[in-house]
Amino acid sequence: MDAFSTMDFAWSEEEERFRAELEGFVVEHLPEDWDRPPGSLGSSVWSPATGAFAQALAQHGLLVPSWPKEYGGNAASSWQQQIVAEVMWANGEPRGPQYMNVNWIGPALIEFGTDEQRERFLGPMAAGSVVWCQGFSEPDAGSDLASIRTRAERDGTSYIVNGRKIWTSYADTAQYCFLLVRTGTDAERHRGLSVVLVPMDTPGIEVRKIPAIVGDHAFHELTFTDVVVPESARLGAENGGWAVVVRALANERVGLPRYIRGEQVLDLVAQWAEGAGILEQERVLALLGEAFAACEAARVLVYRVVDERAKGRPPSGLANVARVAAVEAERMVADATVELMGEEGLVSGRLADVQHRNSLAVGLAGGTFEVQLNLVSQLVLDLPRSETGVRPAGPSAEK
Amino acid sequence: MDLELTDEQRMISEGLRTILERMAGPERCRVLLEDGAHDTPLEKVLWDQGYLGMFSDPDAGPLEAVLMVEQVARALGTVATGALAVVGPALGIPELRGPVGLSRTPPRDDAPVRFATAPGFLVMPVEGEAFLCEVDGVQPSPTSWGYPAARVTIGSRRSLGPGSADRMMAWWRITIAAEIVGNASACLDVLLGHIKERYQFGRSLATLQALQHRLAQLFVQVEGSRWLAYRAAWSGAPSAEAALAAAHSVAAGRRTVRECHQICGALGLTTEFDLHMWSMRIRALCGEAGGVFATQVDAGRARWRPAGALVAT
Repeated sequence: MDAFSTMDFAWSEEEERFRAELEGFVVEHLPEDWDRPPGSLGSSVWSPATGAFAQALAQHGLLVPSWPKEYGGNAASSWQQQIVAEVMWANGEPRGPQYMNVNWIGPALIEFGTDEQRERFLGPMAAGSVVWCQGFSEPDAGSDLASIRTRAERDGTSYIVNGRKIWTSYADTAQYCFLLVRTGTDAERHRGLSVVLVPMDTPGIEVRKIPAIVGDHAFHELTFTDVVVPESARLGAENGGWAVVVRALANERVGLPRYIRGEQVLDLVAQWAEGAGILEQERVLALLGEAFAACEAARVLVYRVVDERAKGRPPSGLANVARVAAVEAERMVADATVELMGEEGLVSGRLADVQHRNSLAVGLAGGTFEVQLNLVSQLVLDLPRSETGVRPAGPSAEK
Repeated sequence: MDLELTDEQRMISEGLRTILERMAGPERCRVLLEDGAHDTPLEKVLWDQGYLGMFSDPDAGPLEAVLMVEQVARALGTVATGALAVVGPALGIPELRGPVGLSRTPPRDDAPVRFATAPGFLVMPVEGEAFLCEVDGVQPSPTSWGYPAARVTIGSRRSLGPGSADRMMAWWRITIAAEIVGNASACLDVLLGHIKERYQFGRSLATLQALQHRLAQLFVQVEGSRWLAYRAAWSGAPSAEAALAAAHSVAAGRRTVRECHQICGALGLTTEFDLHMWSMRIRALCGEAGGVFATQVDAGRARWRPAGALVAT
């Protein structure tokens, strides 16, 4: 008789081996002067250090392990993909902005790209030698992504792009932009959108850095003035961009493992409290304990999403549930840090200072907290749309 | 990992649901509360059908026992499932029957113990060891909190071995977390039904984003509690895992009670509307666990000061 089957919360031996291999790789290849100790913000900088690390990962088959073999991957499981993310986040994200290529821009190209596009773009991504940025949000279209106005007008076999994008990360170093444009009418909303793949050195693209308070992460504004984009640069069908974006954002939301860094931060705060002689105080333990429980709740809810994906199920509202939990947890970690460290947190660069400023963005980047709550309401709780005009399947991005 | 109910677990749940539909629920709960009674017939069926014995059953296990505790709570069952099906077997006393109480210290004269409504047994930790105590006398206590409870007089007691107190506390916390999750899930069901049916200002309450977002946040917190409780049970109840499940679920429970009663309005305050049957139980469970602050202290202590004494259940 078969053994009784129950749930399983353990990593398999193969997954443990994979994690150990990856951790060994990190120890060996992380630059000696790597300035992101545990608990620091993940690097968002494309630098010689992150570039060299990403390329070393690629050479060892560890940059895009979850991609199909024909595109340079190793067909690794969703669980292994999560392990990669966890190990990278535990070490200050030494891939820099490469996670975007790995997690959703590359997979979108694999799913929607032409042979020529795959040939041209996936190789450099798999080699870790190229940076992409994502042009979604606009000054007047953030959560309401279907109202974007950046237009791509047909001109023979090309498009002429005019408009503005904002909050774009990595635009200062990116070689390409994964750009959402309007090819139909405004009234067509999400049915009039297309995605085009645009080299950032194309004439007519202007990049302006926007100073911000959220650590070393920089926002940018992109202005497109009569930018000529060949029709062959379109990803997917004309006016079929919404499907591409929905899939890309579903991949994006699966799970940056924020709980890993949150728990590292709490360990550091506990260490600080020990030094300050206050760790025994119940108020200190309660603040840390509350945030730690929230991080672990987020972890297990993210694992539910990975499980869903590993079983080949279509994306569901579980990703939004996990995202809400992760945002709440990260805010709780930051609040505990600020409250406990008191005046010491006022010093620039100290843990409380960094955590607080970073936490202001966690409910915005990659889809606002409110949009996540809308989606939980509609996809999970089966509540009707409210009268805000937000669509049940609607993605959002502030990138 | 495999983070969804297996086919076997679904079958267990389905069988249990059939029994609970027939023998539990709000009407049965109301009858029992009038007498302050433990549900002996339901307990008997749950023993006879193997549900209360799943902890040590090779065709089930501790996680299945905890899933059962959650499901019985959701159906407003009035059986001491936590003590009988989880804490007892975990302490090597699977033979317990009837309304067995769990208590964290020798109960104060005026403090009633949940389920200890008849002479029998009570389990409590004293200085690192759990004790099985004979209950010589009981004085049922009037209560609005949804569970039968009584003040007890304790007679002789026997130790359940060195280190047994930690084991008892960990499993007790997990059962409380599971009970809170079960009750909170039922509250959410009631709440969702209410806002979908009720119209104000010419529109369904369910379309109001102000309510949708609160429900979504509540759901996420309850769902996190659910999976922390499952993981703690699956892991064999390490203290740190149990503490996390308790801390998160008690906070979720407190919020559930507030939000459900606020959103259901005055209707939720009436005894004709079933909401209070779950919500009062949740608040009792949160108190039994030691409350939000104490469980959070213990979650912190379990990670950063594991040798320290616990302050909550």
